[in-house]
Amino acid sequence: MGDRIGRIVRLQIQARSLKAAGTYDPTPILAAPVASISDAGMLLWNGTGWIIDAHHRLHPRSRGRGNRPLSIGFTGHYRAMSAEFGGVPVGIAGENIIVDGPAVRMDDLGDGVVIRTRDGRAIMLGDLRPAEPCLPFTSFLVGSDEVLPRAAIAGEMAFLSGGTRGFLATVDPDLGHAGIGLGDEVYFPPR
Amino acid sequence: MSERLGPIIRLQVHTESLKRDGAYVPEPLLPVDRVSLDGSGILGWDGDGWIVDVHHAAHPHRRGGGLRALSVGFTGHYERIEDRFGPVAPGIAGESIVVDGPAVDADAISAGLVVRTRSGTEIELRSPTPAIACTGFTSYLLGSATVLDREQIEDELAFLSTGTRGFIVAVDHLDEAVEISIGDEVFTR
Repeated sequence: MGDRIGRIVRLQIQARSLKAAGTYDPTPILAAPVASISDAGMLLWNGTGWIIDAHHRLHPRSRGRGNRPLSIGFTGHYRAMSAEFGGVPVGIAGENIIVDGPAVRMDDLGDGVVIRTRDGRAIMLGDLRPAEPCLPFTSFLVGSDEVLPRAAIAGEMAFLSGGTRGFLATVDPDLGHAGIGLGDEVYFPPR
Repeated sequence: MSERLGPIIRLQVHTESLKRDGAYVPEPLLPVDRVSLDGSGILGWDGDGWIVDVHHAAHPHRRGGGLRALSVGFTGHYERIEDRFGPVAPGIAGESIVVDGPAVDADAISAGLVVRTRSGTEIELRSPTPAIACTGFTSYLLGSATVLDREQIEDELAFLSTGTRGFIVAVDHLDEAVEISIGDEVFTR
């Protein structure tokens, strides 16, 4: 295992689109201590059943058509967003997995990250790439009730790009279904 | 000629398997007001999100290998089950859809079933096949704390396995997700 990045402090799914009305509404974000991931996306155990994420390939209104199955964010980036925009709750951008770790950049993540579960399983998240901020989310962060034109928030969007808004990720189809939980540790892969 | 069978009075998903060590445990049955259905199986809306049925392709502990994605039961069959075993709650057998309708025979619905939603959409449920009763469920109906041997309950298994226990239907033709709600009407095809 490579260097430790930090532990998972939040697991969440988007039960439905956060932009159904055009503006950004985080209400459909649901968080819980246990999740299951596969190459198709993430499910969240809500204590009764498995809730399917809106980006999961088999969600009835799948967003991204399964091409953005998983996302990961870091508390270091949330601290940066809070410094830029004022109090930004951890997870408000809707990433599936939030790691209590530094504001890593894309250059740090070229080889992916590894989740070490409590039962000792190592799950590789690969193909990491920055999640590009959208106009509704950026407008939400600046406190606007309406979606602002790109030109009006170009600086803020640039700030959020490059990983501050989080990273998209994939897992190997051979993984099958893997359970992850709060407290699982995240590492860089061994070099 | 299509014949109306009745309205849907119960929709439910199995959040996990209903069998533990062979015994029947209905606790993972979750009733919902609407489900989403496609070739992958069914999801139930619990008010917050879509709950994945254990037979759905997305479920981490998937059962049935995609061959038992959906099942349909009728209150008429539940009346027969009650006559034989005593009071049972409609849906206790775990069918995804329970219709307030007669105890139809397999032959009567061999051409398939059609759900007509309130918006007028018609959804085909193909190839109804009687669900074969298992020893776990049959023992449960008999009030046994243990799973009885097949030889001990042959008659009960036979009674349940001609459609009384419900019908498995095929939905792999559904390329797009469709929604079914309580109150939607079911017809023969």
